[in-house]
This record gives sequence, C-alpha cells and structure tokens, in this order.
Amino acid sequence: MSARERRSAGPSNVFQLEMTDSLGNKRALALKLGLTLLMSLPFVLFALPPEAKVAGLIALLTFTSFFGATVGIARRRSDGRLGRLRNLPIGGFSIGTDLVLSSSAMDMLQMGMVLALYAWANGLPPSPALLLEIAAPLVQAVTLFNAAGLLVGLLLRDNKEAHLAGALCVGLLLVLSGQIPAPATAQAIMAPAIRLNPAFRLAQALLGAGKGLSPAPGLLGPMSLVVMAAALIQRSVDWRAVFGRR
Amino acid sequence: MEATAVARAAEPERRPGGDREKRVPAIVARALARAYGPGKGVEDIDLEIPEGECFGILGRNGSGKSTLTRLLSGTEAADSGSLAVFGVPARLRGSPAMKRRSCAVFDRSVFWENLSGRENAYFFARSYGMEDGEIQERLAFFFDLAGMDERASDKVAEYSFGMRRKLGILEALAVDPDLLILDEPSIGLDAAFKLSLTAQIRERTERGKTTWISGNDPEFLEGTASRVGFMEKGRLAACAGVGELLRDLRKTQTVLVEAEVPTRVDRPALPGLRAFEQDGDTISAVIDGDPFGVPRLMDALVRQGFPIRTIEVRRGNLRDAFLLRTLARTLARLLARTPAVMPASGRDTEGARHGVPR
Repeated sequence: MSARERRSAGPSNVFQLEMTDSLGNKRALALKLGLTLLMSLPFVLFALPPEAKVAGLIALLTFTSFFGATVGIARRRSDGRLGRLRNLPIGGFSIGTDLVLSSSAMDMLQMGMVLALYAWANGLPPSPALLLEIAAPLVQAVTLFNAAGLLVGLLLRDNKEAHLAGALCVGLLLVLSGQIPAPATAQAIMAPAIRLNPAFRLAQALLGAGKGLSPAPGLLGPMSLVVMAAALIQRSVDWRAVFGRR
Repeated sequence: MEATAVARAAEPERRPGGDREKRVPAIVARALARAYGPGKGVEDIDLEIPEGECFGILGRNGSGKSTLTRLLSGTEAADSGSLAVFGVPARLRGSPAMKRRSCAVFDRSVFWENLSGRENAYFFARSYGMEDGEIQERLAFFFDLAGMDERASDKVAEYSFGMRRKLGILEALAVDPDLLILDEPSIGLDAAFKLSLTAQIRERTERGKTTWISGNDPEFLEGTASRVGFMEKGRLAACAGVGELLRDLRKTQTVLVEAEVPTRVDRPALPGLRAFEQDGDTISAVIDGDPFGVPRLMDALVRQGFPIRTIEVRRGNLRDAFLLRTLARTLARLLARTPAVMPASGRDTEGARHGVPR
C-alpha cells in the first residue's frame, strides 16, 4: 500500500478530524463563508468613516472567533462529541490545542477573505510589509479568542448559556480591543490590556494602512506567523504515513 | 452471604478463559455508589470480574445498569466506594496508556457526521495507537462482517440507526481492547450481525479478553456471557453463572397462553406453578418439570372460562430468569402463597434471596 493511499485513509488526530468534518459539508462551508462575507459588506463597501469600518471588522472577527468557539464547544458537548473525545486515549491538552487550532484555521480563512476584500475595496497597497502587519495580529487575535471562547464554553452548561455568555463576552472583548470606549473609571485599568490585545493592534494596522503609514518592524509578528504555520503543518500531516513507520 | 459475595465467588463456567489464577481482576468494585437524586443512580455495588470473563448485567429500565456502565468506563466518577480496572484505581485511569486498555460503546452513537464511516473508525483506531496497515486490515474485516463494506465510504450522516450502532461496535472490535464495555449492544442490530457479534465476543473471551455487557436482551447475554448480574433499584440484587441458571431453569417449562378475547382469571392453585402473570389476553406461567403441569394448568384455565387460542410451551431460558427476578415484586404479590421465586440450590439460592423484595 502506497503512502498516498495510507494518508487518505482518515484523520490521524483531532485537528485533522475537525478540519475534515468542517470542509466535508460543502453547504455548511459555503454558508459559513458566504454569511461572513455578507456581514462584512457594510464595513468593506459602504462609505463609512475608516474608524467605523475597522470597528465593524473587529466586531466581526471577535464574533466569529470567540462566539463561534464558545458555541462550538457547547454544541460538541451537547451532541456527545466532546465526551467521545475525552474517552479516547488522547491527552486533554492535545484535544484542546487541536480544537483551538482547527477552529482558528477556519476563522483565519473567513477573516482572511474579508480582509483581502477590504484591502482591495479600499485601495490598500498589496505590499509584503502590510501583509505581515495585518496577518500577524489577525492570527494572534483569532487564536487567542478561540482559546478563550473554548475555555468559556467549557465552563457553561448548555447551548443557551453558551449563546448568552458568548454574546456578553464579545461585548467585553470589543471594549478590550478599543472599539467600544471603556467607562472613564476603568480606562486606566483597561489601557494596558487594550494595548496587548492583538485585535487592537490589528485595528491600528488597518487604520494606519488606510492613511498610508508604514508599519513598524518587529519580531513578534513574524514569529507568531512562523509558529502558527509550523503548528498547522505539524498537525495537518500524518507523519507516521509520510515516514512509513509500521 | 451477600449477593455481591456470590459475584466474587462465582467462576465463569461456560467460556474458557485460560489460566485465571495468574490474572489480576479486570474490575474490582467495592461499595461503589453514584447518586443523581432520591432513588436514582447506583449504591453499594460490590463486584469482582476476573480478566478474561464476559460479564452481563441485566435490569429493568432505570435500574442503574447504564450508570454502573458509565462508572466502569470512566465517563463518570463515583460519589463513594472504590473501583479499580486492571488494578488501577478509577482516579488514575485518565492517562492515555490506561484508556488504551478499555473501550466503551454506549447506546447513543456519536460520530463526526461529515466523515465517512471508515474515516470515523480510522481516527478511532489511530487514537488507540494502532498502525495504518493493521487498522486498514481490521477495518476491512469488520466492515465486511457488519455487511457495511459497500457503505464504508459514505458519510455517517447518511447512515441509518442500525448502521450507526454497528459502526460504534465495529470500531471497538477493531481496536480489540483488553476490556470492552458494551451498553445495550443488541439494540438496532440485524440478526446476522448480532450472531457475528456473539461469535466475536466469545472469541475474545477465549483469548482472555474481558467484556462487560449491559442490556435488556437476555438471549444475547445467554450466548455471550459466562455470568450475569441482576440490577434492581440501583443495587446489584444477584449474580449467577449463566450455565447454572440455565441448568436450573431447564428443569422448568415456560408456558404462554393466548386468549381469543381478554378474560381475567385468578392464579390457579396448582403444585409446581412458580410464576403466573396475566397481561391482557396473554398468560405467562413458569411450571416445575412436572410432566402433567401443563395439562393441569390448561384444565384450570378452561374451568375459569379462559378461551384459549394458542399455547406455547418451551424450556426456561435466561429471559425467564431475568423476568423472574426483575418482576420479583409483582410476582411476589401474585405468588403470595408460594415461599420463594427462585429455586433453592447453591449460589443461585443466594442470588434469589437478594432478588426477592423484602
């Protein structure tokens, strides 16, 4: 049996399992991508102030990644898939990271598509520096929000609680990303958290690019992209099949 | 003697499992309890199952079978008592290495719907550390055994209830765990696969692998288990070897009498009539091995004006043992004039004592 045949036999880890499941339902995938695009249209195409456009895109990102992860994990628990995974001889950390990675990958696909459309519609220069400036905080924000959404979802009992808590947390995250003004009394406390929030940095990058500002070089951005790419490759490939370990 | 003590003492007698003396018990439960509320859950479960035994658990709906099965599988934690699987306490069973030794198939089958049956099963086997070649060989065999080889590449979303049940079971059979836990395995299965599953379980037992089967299908357990436990109101009411139960019950005759029109009759006062129950137009009775027992019963029914349409007489089986125990409360009321529900012989006497409500 060739390595190719063995690779196609089925998923070898939770990341591959979730990705195959997400990409396996073409209708659901088209709806997911189509609805995200549809929801982004007002912020991409309409004649709004740049701040409003960017705030809308950050809200969409937060909703897609955090709310999606919270509701997703609650749904997996209610339909028994989470319990099934926990019963398997796989470590809990491995299950958690694979779930975060797979939902982050789907969200990056959705938001990457939206941001590409935004860049095209708003005449942003397609330079590698700008790509890096936007891609790095996008990857960081999506991964962070997915991880946080998963943790919040695990604390909740059912889908109803997940929807309610998810929506409330999205509001809080929008405050923490600087898109909704924080109350005056809490601004001093929230300012450091806002500056650390990758969604805030993504908003700054989008606004800066619109004004033609050149991004400041740094190591964190490229590093996070390298780490994410390495993680995705590591989990996407069935290494046992590649090296033919029997 | 406690019924649970019987459980420890009894040895599998029908299915050889090799040299049992050298093996650690697969399951040891002591005073195990898990409560969901008043009268719900299980309590005071004492059980010891040697490695290489197929143990069945029977009980009415809500008797605690599934709770006990979930405790054994590690999906739920006990409130009190102790449980060890292959000598490892329940609290330490979370490691992948320990989880690899057992596998549970529950009555509710959960799959990734957009993946094919083969892909689901492949992932399951990979998570148990199996290698590609072995997985593909075993899956090909078990999909064929289940008559699903032509549908293996179809999405699970397109599977029927029975196919999903088969998929869950064949996944577990393919990984061949040391302890296989099956919850209501026979539900939704076609007769052919049920027979194949029976053969597979017996073959596992012969290889020294342990199987736990919880269910409501005495016929299935009769073909697979070497011992059965009877759950009643969250307690392990009795435990006995299947062979022993059958030997005893085969001295009896089970009679099913159907009426032309539903007609209520009183329980006849006949010697050797051990159980008698009327449900609508059907009477079920268990009679001791008296050759004139059946004619006497028919005579008594006709005298009461019972319009007999059909009569079915057969030897006792595990279903009768199950009914005799689980319907003990009803039967005790019906059999107010007879001293015991179950026969008085050996270990079974102990089981019967605990099966009869006080």
